[in-house]
Amino acid sequence: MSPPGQIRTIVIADGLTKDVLSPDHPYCAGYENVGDREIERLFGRGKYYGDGPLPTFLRAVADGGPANGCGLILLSPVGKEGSNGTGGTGTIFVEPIEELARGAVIVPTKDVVIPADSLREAFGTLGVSEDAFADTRFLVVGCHTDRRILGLASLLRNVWECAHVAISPHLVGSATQEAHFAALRHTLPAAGIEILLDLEVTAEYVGLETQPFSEFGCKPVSIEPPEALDALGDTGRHIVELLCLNWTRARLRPLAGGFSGSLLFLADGWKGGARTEPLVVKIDAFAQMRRELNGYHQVKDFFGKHVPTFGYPIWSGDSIGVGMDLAAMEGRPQTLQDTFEQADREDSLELFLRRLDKSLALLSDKLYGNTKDVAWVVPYRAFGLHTEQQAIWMRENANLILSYLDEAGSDPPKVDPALMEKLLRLIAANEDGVDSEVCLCHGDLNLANVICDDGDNIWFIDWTHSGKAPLELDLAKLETDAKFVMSKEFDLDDLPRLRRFEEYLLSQRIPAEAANLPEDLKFVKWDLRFRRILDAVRRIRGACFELKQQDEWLVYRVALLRHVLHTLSFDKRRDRGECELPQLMHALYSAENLVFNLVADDFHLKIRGERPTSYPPRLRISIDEAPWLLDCDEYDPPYHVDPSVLENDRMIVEGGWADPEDIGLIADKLAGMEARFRDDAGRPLNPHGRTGIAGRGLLGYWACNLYVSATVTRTSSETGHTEILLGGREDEVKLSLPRGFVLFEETPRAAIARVLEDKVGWQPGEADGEVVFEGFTYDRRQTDHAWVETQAFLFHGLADRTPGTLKAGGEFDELRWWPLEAETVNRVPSDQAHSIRGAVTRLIDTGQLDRSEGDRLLERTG
Amino acid sequence: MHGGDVQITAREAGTVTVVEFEGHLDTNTAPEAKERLDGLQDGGVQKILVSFEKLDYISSAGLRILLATAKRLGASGGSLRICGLNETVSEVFEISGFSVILSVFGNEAEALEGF
Repeated sequence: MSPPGQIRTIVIADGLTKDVLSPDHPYCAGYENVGDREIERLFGRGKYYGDGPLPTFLRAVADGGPANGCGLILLSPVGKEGSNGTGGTGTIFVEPIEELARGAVIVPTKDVVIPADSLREAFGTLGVSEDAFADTRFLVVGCHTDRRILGLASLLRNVWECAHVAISPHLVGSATQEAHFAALRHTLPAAGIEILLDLEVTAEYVGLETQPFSEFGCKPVSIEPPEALDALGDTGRHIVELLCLNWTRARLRPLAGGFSGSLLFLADGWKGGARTEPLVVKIDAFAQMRRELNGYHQVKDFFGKHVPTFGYPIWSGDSIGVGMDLAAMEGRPQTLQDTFEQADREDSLELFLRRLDKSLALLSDKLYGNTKDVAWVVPYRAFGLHTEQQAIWMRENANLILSYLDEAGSDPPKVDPALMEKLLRLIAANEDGVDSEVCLCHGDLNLANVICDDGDNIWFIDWTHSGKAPLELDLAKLETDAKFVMSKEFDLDDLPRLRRFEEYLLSQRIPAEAANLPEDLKFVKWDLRFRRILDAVRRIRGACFELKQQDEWLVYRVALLRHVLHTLSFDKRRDRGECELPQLMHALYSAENLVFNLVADDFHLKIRGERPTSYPPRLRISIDEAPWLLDCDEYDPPYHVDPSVLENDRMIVEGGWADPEDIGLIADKLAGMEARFRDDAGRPLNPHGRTGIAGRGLLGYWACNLYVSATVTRTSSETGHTEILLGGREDEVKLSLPRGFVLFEETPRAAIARVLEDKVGWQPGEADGEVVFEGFTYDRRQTDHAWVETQAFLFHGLADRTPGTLKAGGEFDELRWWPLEAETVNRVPSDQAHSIRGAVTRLIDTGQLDRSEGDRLLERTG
Repeated sequence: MHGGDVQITAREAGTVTVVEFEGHLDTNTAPEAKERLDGLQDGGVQKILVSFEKLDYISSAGLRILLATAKRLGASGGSLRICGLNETVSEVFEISGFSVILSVFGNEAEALEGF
């Protein structure tokens, strides 16, 4: 308790006048009046008008506050009826406040102006000088929350830098509920103002006895169950209390990953004994939530009422929480996962399938079909399977799962993780692509992210990972989720049947109905655990392939592989997910089947089809027909030479960068080249075999076209981290090393010096740079008669000797130092990534890059 | 282009069944090869050495048969080895990457060692 007369807390009350708070005519009809509901909430109703929390609280402040060091300031409008602007008559205030006005400091106000000077004087009157602002507690009460209350609190906290400024929702009100809640949930906390949700805590804050306020029951929402409170922690609890500000009770159900996963809940609410409409609540770190909000903005125009409606985000510490309403809901909501898990009878299976059908139809119609485009998709790279890390994770997870199996004494059909790893490395290194559909995707579509209600209305939630991606990304995820994560009823005895079943599902683009399955799968028809998977897979794939122009399902299977490899880590024993041993083993069988199937697929066993758009389609022969060693009489590829090559014939045009088309003119040059294979005309042939196109295409020289590239790195003087110099173009997402072709009779060192001067504005010394890679490089422009070889240089710690000289040139619009880490390397095209990986290895070997940092980069790139 | 027959013979070498291929293993002859290899596995054979010393040519269809055999043997705890690739077959194995994923040996003696 403070010494008598020393003010430690100031309560500032605004908007307690008749025009704002009187329920009587003519005041109640005025535009300033907050309305019956708010008047009743704050002041009480009928004969109890004046007994509500706000007048009770202010009376306590006026009566006992000064003894406890608490002063009261009332803002009083000038020029209104009964007021002289300096206090005294009190007739402008509502009746319960009139008597308090006599003991309070009155500050005149006018219109919407905040009387800063008068307020400072009032503080002085109470004995609080400017020096004491930081140590004084302020509580702002009254009406209207979103207007002058907000302004007053903000003046104190943000302009005068008062450290302790608080508002209690039970002591403020507004005519507009939305504006009131928006201010309390979003604007005031964002301005650093404390929201005191418990009236007794508010009384304590200003130094009053708490007991008189317990009868009002002005408490924050009661959160259930106890596990939810544990999961939320203090920050999360405060966010949920603000989100559910007008509820008395909230029961949270996790929507994904249980209470140990991300904080995504379905909140059932009560006001007293009455149920409210449920709310989807998500709490996450700022960066994640920003992605989520961006995702919603991306899709809401397409999905309308089928995505939740966002409320104002709430900040607390480093976290943000958002409440999302499900529009026009009928009955109680549940996730599609709940419906799937309950599908243990024919009628409940029918319900699940009906909801799944509707979900797929909505996604196909409003999202995928609506935003669909055809693009060149390099599947293993598109799904992130090209990185070293994937193969390592698969081996580690597979070995762990097999060790669980040994512990369990079970002996189902085995898999060979070492062979699987080899197969994965082989297929994932394939950088060929196909023309395939890309569209706006959800990015993490699982059955728990689809909410349904009793009227079969559907909402899709959690758009954190949404973006343009291959169509298959979402639907293969849904299939994976249904098969492994959600199918929890299998035990180890089911594994042989699960293996056969999965083998079948991965051998058929659209599996047959249960009644038409092969003889050894007849059990699927009567075992609903299997049948609901079959029926779900049939529907999911049906929806996917209906949107595709071609019959291929390669991209779908690569997407399945991506998701199933991820599933191998959802290990319940390691507290990383929901999968028990049978689920993990089922997923392992799937991974095994996929890697075997994909190695044996035409996509892997045919030569690469990628080409620049100006090229004719390549003749796609099998790779066993690719070696020049083998006769291939039927091989008759299209001949292509780009006009730009002909226009730059170095024998005709000065500065030309291409050989003449007539090879007779350069017979000596060609004859002098080392070549394992030559065609009948004596032209050297691509050392990596047939390519499906003859001629030179866009490449200038017959045979080898030598490229030089520069990995320019430095150790940042600011961060101490290693950085790499990369260029970018406005129209390209990808980043690029400075690089270019070696010109006729130019040495590679002269070429790299020229390239660096042209493209980054830096000229290395003659002896600078070391070669970290040289050899054949796959290039989509290659033909039978022209290919690319690369000499990759590393320049470390040289380019920033003269700061400020670097300048983007050539094809670069922008030049930047990027952190030398996996995320950066994965943003450059794969052929250049190989050069960077070579440079990283050299930096590690020479001690210029920390080994663990370098190894981590090498593991996560490919 | 590479039309031709394949002759397949099998013999025992200790616990290993050596399956010799002669001629062409391509789309036309792959079904016969599959039938022979499946038949051996149905009969309980666990270790198979495929000898290509007399094989002139292998197509992608032949590669698929080898892969299916390796998978099936792996599931039952058995294994597959391959030996005696001529230059042409070796080139196909190199380009397809099968030389990395399957156990390939120079000749039969090397392949049988430690099998």
